[in-house]
Amino acid sequence: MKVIKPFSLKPTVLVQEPILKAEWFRERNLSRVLLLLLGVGVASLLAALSSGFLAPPGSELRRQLAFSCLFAFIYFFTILIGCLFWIIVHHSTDSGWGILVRRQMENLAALCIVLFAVCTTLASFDWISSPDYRWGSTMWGVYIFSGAAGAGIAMIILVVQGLKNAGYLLRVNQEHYQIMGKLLLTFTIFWAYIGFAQYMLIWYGNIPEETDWFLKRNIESWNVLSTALVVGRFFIPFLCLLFQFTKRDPKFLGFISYWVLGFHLLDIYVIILPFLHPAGFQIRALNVLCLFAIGCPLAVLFLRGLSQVSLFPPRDPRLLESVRLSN
Amino acid sequence: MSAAAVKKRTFGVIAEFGSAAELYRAAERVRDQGYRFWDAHSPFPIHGLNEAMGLKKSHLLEYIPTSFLFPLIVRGKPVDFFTVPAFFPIMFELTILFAGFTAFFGVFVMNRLPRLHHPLFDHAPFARVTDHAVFIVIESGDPKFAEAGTSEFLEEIGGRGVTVLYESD
Amino acid sequence: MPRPAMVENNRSMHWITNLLAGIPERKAPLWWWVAIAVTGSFATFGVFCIIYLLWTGVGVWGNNLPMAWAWGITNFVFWIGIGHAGTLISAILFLCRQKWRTAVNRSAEAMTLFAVMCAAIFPAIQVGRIWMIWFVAPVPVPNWIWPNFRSPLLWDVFAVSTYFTVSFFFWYLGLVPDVATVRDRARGRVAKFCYGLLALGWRGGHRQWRHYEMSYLILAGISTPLVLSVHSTVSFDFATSLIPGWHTTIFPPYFVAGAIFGGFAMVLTLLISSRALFKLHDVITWNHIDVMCKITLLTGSMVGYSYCMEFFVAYYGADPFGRYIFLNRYFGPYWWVGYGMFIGNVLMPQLFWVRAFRRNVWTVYLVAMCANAGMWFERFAIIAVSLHRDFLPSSWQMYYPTWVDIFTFAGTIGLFLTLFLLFIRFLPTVAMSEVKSVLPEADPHHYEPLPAKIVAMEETQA
Repeated sequence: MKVIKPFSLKPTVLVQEPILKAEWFRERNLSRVLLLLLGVGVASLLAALSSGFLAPPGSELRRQLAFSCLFAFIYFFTILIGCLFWIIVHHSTDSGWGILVRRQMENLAALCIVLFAVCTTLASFDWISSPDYRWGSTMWGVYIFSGAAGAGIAMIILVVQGLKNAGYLLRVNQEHYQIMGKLLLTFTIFWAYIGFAQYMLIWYGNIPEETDWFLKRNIESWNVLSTALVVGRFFIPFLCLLFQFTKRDPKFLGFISYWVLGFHLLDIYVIILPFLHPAGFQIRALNVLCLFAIGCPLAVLFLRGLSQVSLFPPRDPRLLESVRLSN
Repeated sequence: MSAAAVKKRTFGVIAEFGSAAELYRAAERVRDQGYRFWDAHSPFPIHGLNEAMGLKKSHLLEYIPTSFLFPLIVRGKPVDFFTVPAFFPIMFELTILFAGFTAFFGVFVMNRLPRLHHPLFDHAPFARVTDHAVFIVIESGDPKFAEAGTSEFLEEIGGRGVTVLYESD
Repeated sequence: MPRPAMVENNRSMHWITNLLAGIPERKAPLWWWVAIAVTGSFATFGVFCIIYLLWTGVGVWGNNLPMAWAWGITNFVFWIGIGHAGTLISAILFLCRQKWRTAVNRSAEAMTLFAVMCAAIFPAIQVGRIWMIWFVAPVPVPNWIWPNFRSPLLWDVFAVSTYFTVSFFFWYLGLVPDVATVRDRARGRVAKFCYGLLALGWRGGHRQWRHYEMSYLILAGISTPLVLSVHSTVSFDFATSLIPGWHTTIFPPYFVAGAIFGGFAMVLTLLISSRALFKLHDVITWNHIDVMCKITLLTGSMVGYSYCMEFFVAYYGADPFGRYIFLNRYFGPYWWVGYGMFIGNVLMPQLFWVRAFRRNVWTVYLVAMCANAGMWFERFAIIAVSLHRDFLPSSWQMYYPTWVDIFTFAGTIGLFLTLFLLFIRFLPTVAMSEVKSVLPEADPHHYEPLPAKIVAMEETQA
């Protein structure tokens, strides 16, 4: 390494040449996909908003719109917060394994740049549990965070896998998948631990202001969904991810990630919608519309951001550690 | 019985190597030669030596699930199925306890330890195996073992201080 | 960009063995005898206090109503918490492939065992009629009734005994190759016999290492949920009740984070001392201390988050009793406990954001001591300060510890340090085989990083 004169007036910069050739996201049909997503997103947004505003005053539809928007927003918000969390972990542990996949974590998290813990906690109280203002659980922020981190890593896995299937990220191999699978397993267990602790303490204490929350979610048809949530968000991913071969197989890991994202959807649904439909869950088109209304613009932003920078940092000094990874 | 009439049985041949990298390459050669009753000794576990020696992973992992059956018997009087949350901590701890027993005692059973006397301990330089030296030992029980031939082979792949070991009385 | 070296100054394996195995081989230095005399006398006096307690009754403590749990249970939770850092370093950091743990894990695991031993004393003597303690065993013998499996106090019994057992297994398994090292170097007959017995005939063969590594992985894998569940179970002692400062859903992860925090503070205290006394600077490097300080900072901040959450929900929820508990904690007669805990656990570790403070032995010591004290204050604040003023004002009381309380606690500190001193005298304090395995020459595929062309260019004015 050449020593550069330190006090020269012209600043000198040491530039390290890339260790690996950079990969750029260039897809021919990208603009068409972007247009399609934008179209669906805008159409859903217009449909949702108009149904709310054009509804006769005092109708159910406006309340449904509010809750559907909240439901869809929180779903995506938690996933992105989760991706942000993984970047924080990656950098603060000076991690080597993740360098090849870190850029994708960054692309996802850049969509959500708020301060992590404060925002998650206040958000979880303000937006999620405030419809039942009497209920207070000190674990609430942590619970939302745990679901978010799990959904975040599932999303990261799917993005990396999608890019690999499209022919990019050639150096990402089974070792990286195994580590990401382990992280998904860890946070599935963490979600279950937090959820169980909160539930058990409220069940044991049996204080009406607190138990009301779970009672609402355990009556009528909500009971089915709550039970399905426990089985599907924890037991099934847990059992599947325990083995090494499942974590190393991209297809299987992708399937589990979809599964986790689906059950995260159910988690948010069971948290928010019982306020609106206490008698039992009801399928509403507005829920789906709002999901598209928020999700599609996010996808547009993400895909655009994807092409702005190389798909992985080619000059990162620890890059070789990630490429030569062996578990 | 006169001392001359007693012939000590050969235990095997031992050779010392210079570093972990040398040991790895030598181990690959020994494996390729077809030996099966042999071992590589080192002060720390060397990664990748499983493949170099042609070994499979330890079977310990398979014994753990069987110990999960124990907690179901020891659990107390189940009063009501719906009080499941209250029984959960104890069941969880017992599961971990029995898995721990299996892992701990399993390793000694599978290593056939404690075995306080072993022909290797009679070889003075072997005391450095826990310090910094690495060795390969090929046992006489191996079908391909031949006292002279195996010694020459070990010297050829880089072994130093090749010695024949005898069984302890 | 190379990672910082695990062992500095390019020390060879033989040098490491000489350094670390040499400690049990040498005669004990004078400072060791002085230290063990001091800690031993505290421990002995502590034993005397316990005998006095059992003979006379729990009235010799300062416990009263409503403060049925005070110093006794505070000390129990304090010691159990300290033990958790050892398991975190051994098990969780192993699963996260953090190689730096190899220099500190053996001492930390030993610390766990000794801390759990000290902890287990308190619930046993707290019950008063200690000859009835066998009632907690899961056998339906007393009056043909099972113990109450649905009580958190019984969950504690299972959790702590499982924790001790599994930690012991983990510690001993790790010790076997290192005791074999000491055995192979031992000169005296007694030494050779004792270490030989403990080493169980370990020969270092790869076939043995295979099973050893698998067992280590399994024990690490089960210790991880264990350490989370044990302190969560301890927190359930409080959280399943209805007392305002106790019935808080965040207790499980809050207690676990606090335990790890307090434990790391204790690890830092012990390791910096032994590092200086035994000249282990090349093995326990500043990088190790730096990382441990960062973990202390992280867990201290998590504890701070929990304090703020408790305060927030006390304000946000409409419960007047809950609100009062928190106002009382910081503005009532025990305000100094509240501030002690906040400053020691939340504010002081924030110094570790600054690299200079992580690398200065005096600041690290200071923050570690503040953290140790802060954790004790936190337990006292949760347990005693929440109890002393709960629902009925007519039941409010102050608590004053008696000399028996104080010297029993001092006795357990003495016991802990005595056991630790014995450990460093007779057994290898650093995991030699593990430290050797993270040296560069231990890698059979030792490679040099690819040379990267560095191009210097002068930045032109835009």
